[in-house]
Amino acid sequence: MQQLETEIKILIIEAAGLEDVTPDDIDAEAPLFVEGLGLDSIDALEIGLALHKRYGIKLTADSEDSRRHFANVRSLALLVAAQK
Amino acid sequence: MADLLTLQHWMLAPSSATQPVARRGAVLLTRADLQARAHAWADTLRRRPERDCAVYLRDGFEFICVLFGAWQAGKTVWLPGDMQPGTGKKLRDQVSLFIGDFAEDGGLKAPDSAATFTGADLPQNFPALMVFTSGSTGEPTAIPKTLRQLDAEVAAMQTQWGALVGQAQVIASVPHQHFYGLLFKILWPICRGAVFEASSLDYPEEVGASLARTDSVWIASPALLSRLPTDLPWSKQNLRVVFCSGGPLSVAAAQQCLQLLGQWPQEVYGSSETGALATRMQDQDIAPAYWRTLPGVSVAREPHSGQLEVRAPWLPDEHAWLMADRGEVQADGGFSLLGRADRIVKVAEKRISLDALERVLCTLPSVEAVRVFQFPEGRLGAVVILSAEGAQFILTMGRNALIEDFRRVLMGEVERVAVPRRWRFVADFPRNTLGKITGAALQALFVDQDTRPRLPEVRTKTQPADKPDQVELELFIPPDLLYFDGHFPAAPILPGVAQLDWAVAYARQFFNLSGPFQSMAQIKFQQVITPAMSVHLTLTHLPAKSAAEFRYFSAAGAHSSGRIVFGASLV
Repeated sequence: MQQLETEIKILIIEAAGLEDVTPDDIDAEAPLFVEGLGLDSIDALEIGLALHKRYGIKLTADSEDSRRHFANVRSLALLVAAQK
Repeated sequence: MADLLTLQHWMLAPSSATQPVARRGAVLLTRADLQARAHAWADTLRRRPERDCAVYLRDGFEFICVLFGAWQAGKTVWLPGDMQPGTGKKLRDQVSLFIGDFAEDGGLKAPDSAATFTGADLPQNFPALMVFTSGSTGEPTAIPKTLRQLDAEVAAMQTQWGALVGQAQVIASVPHQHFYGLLFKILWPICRGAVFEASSLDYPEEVGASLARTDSVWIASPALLSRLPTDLPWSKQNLRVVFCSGGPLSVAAAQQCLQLLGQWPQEVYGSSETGALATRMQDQDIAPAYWRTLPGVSVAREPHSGQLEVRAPWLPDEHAWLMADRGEVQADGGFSLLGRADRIVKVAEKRISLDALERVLCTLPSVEAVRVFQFPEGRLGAVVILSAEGAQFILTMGRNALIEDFRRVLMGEVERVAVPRRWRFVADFPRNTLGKITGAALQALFVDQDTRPRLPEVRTKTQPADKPDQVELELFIPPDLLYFDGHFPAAPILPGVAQLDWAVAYARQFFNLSGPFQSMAQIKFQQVITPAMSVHLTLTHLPAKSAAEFRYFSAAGAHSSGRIVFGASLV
C-alpha cells in the first residue's frame, strides 16, 4: 500500500506538473484540492486521465463517489487497489 | 417540437404539472415540484426588505427554484462565479441577503414559509440578474441582465439549434453559476421543455455513464473535451449534440472529439457580457474554421484597435459592444479570432487578469517586481525579482516556503487555476535585443536547456535467486554526465553525493522503501569513479531496519559503500 501511495504521489506530481513538490512533501491524508496541495479542476481531469492510462481506473457514474475518491492520496490508492 | 416559453410565461402560466423538468440521477422532478418550491421561496423572500440577493447553489434544480422564487418576489439575483473568500467579501459590499452553499454562515438554506406566493407580471426590463465576468481576478465586473435580454437570447438559441437538440435531456459539465452554463444547462432547456440533470457531471466517466442510459445534449468545456480518455466506451448514438464554450478548442482536440464522440463539437463564441454570439464546427476546409453569427447578431472590426464590435438583440441597447478579442471579418460575415487586446488570459475557461495577479503579488513585502505570463499549455508562470526582505526569506526559509506563502495569499484572492504553477526568481528580467521584456524571454527561463544525462546507463540488472533482497546493476557512467561539470575542471570524478542519490533512487525503485530519507551510516569512498567507466552497484534491502546497503565496485575493486536508512512511511 505504501508503495502504491508513493506511485500515486509521483503520478500526481507528473500529471499536475508540480515542479517544487517531492513525494515526501505530500501527506497521504491531506486534501488534494482547495486546501493541502491546492489542486484545481484541470488537475482533477489530468489526474483522472493519468490514473485511467496507468491503472485502467474507471470512475463510477456517481459524482459524489468521484469526489470521495479524489479526496487524498490514500483514498486514490484504495480506489486503485480495489480495481487492480 | 414543443413551443418555446418565455421565462415570464413559464413562471405564471398554469401548466401540465406532471411534465418533468429536471432529474437528479434516477429521480424525475416535475413542473409541479418546481412551482411548489419556487412559490415557497417567493413567499419567504417577499418578506425580506433587501432588493438584491446572492445565490450560490451546486444543485441545478434548487437553483432554478430559487431563481424563479426570487424573481417572483421582485428581487435581483447576483450570481458569484466562485466561492473564494475574496469574492464573498466583495459581494458583501453590495448584497446582504445570501442564499445557498455559502461558506460563511448566514446563507438561507431552505424556504422558511409553507405558504406560496405567485408574483405578478414582471416588466420586460425587470433587472433579473447580475452575473460576473468568469473568474476574473482583481476587479470582477457585475453585468446586469434583464428578463428581456434572457428571453431574447434563449429565442435565438432555439432558432439556431432547436431542431438539433430536440427534447433530448441536457447534461452539463460546466457550472450554472456562469452565464454559459446558466443559459445552456438551465434556462434554455426549461423554456423548450427539455429535462436537465441537476448535478454537474464533472468527469468524463460520469458523462459516459449518463450517455449510456439515454439520449443527451452535453454542455461541455474545452478543458474537459481536450482531456477525454481515449478508451472509454462512449454511446455515440445517444449523444445528440456536444456544445463547447469558454475558450478556444484546439483543432486537434476537436478532431479527437470527432473520433471518440462521432461528431464535431458545436463551439460557441461569446462572453458573460454578451451571451452567445457565434458558433462553428471544425468540419470546414479551413482550420481553424470561421465563426458564424447567431440569428440577429452582426459583427464588424473596429479599424483602430482591430477589436471586434458586435450588435445583438439581447445586448443592453442597440449600440455596438466592443469585444476584448481582436479579429478579422470575412466578406461573407464569417470571422476569425486573433487573440485578446488586453492582458486577460483564460485558464480552464476562467478569465484571469495578469495585471491583477501582478498587482496582488506586488503588495507583498517579499516582492520587488513580478511578471506573470501564460505557457502555451495553459498554465501560468511567474518571474519574480525579490526585495531585500524576500531574498532574506528565501535564504533562511527556502524556496518552497516562499512559494507557499505566495500561493496562500493568492488563493485568498483569486481562483485556484489563476495561481501560477511555476516560479522563477531572478536578479533582473530577461530582455530581448530591443530591451523589451517579452513572453518568449520569460518562458525561456523555465526551459531546462541542459540535456546532459543525470543518471548512469543501466546495462544489466540481476537479482540473485538465493538472495531476494538483493539487486545488482551494471552501470555505465556517461562521459558527458552533468555532474562532472566543475567537479573538477580537468580532472572529472563522480561526486559522492551523486553516488548516494543514485543509491537512494534505485533502492526506492526496487524495494518497498517509501518513507523519507532519514540518515546514512558507514559511508566510505575508496576509489574514484571517472567518465566512461563501467561499475557495478549492489543494493541489499534490510526490511527490518527500513534501510538499504549499497556498494559500488568494479574490476579495480571497491569504489564506495554505505547504508541508507529510510523513515517510516506516513502510513
